[in-house]
Amino acid sequence: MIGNMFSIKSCANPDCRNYACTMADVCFDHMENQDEYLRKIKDFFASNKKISNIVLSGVVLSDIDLRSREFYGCQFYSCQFTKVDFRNTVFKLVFLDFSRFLECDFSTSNLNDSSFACTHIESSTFKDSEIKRCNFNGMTSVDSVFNDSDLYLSTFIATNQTRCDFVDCNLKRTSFARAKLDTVSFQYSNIEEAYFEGEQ
Amino acid sequence: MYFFSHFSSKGFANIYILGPDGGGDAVIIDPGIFDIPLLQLIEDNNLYIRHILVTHSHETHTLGIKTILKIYDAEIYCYRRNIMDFEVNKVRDFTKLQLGEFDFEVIETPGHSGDSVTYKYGSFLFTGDTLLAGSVGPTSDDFSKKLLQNSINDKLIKLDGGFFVFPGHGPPSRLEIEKKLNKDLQDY
Repeated sequence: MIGNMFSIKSCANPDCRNYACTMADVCFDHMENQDEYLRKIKDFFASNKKISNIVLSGVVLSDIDLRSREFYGCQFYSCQFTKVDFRNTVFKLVFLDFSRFLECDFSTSNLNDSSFACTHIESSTFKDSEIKRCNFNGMTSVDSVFNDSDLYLSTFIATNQTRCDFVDCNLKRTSFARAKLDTVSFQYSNIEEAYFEGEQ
Repeated sequence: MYFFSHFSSKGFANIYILGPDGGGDAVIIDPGIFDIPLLQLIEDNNLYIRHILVTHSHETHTLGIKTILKIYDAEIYCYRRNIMDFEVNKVRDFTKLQLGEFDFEVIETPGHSGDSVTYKYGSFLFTGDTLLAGSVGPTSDDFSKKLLQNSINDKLIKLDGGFFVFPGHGPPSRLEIEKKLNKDLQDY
């Protein structure tokens, strides 16, 4: 419930329209020493359990352990997360729009009032999580799992999903309007309480 | 700055609170309920509700006002002249509100209801039931639908895509995503 909200500033590069990253004046693409920045951010994540008011733009993170971290009011815009362990995390008012998640694990997490809009999610799991009022609109997902999760009031509008599972989920007031669903399982989930209007 | 959202089971609506770092006079937006967890959230962060912003007067966005006013000495701001017989500060298009350290601008966005407004604060838009993630608010007839179309096209769509959208119901979004994906907007 608690969170400072991100302070946003633009990348100092005059030709760039991205956001500047926290602890920097520019976005990740315009950093002179990206390795040093990654080290700094990883150290920050490693030494803080509650993380708020952080902006990352275009950052590429892989093989890191973020288990049990609590993120409040953060923005991870157009980032790439590969093999990141997000198990038991808390997300509240976190914006991860246009980011890519490859082989990430969000199991047993608590993700509320956050946005994963226009993300690409591949070979990742959100199993046994509380995912209430989250925006997944425009997401592309492949080989990913949301089983045993509570997706109350979350939206998956205009998503493109292939080989994904929503087994035994709470889908009350969950919207899959205009979603393209290819080999997606909703076994044991309350699909009659979800919206599927315009499904393709 | 503190920024919180609170879910109201009454009408499945969102309540937002903005407050200064470390506590002080705070702004609450659309208090559709005032329950114990919301009171704890306010008190645990040393906040005092001094201003109540209402995006529109439907009860799912206003029912908590009566309780708030029993606890806090707060001013109400909305388009209508009064809410539940409480006096309010009327807001109109382009009204600028300096509420403590928070500067809001009012954008009239009628359609879902005749008294709907959007509050702009920095890069945040509190859109009430005008614009939701992936949809727009319901309207009662064709005239209202046309009003809503005009509100969105003339007022909101023209804003920079970087604005964050905090609606009255459902998850948050970002204006650039709504421009890209919201079929209700594309239909307009």
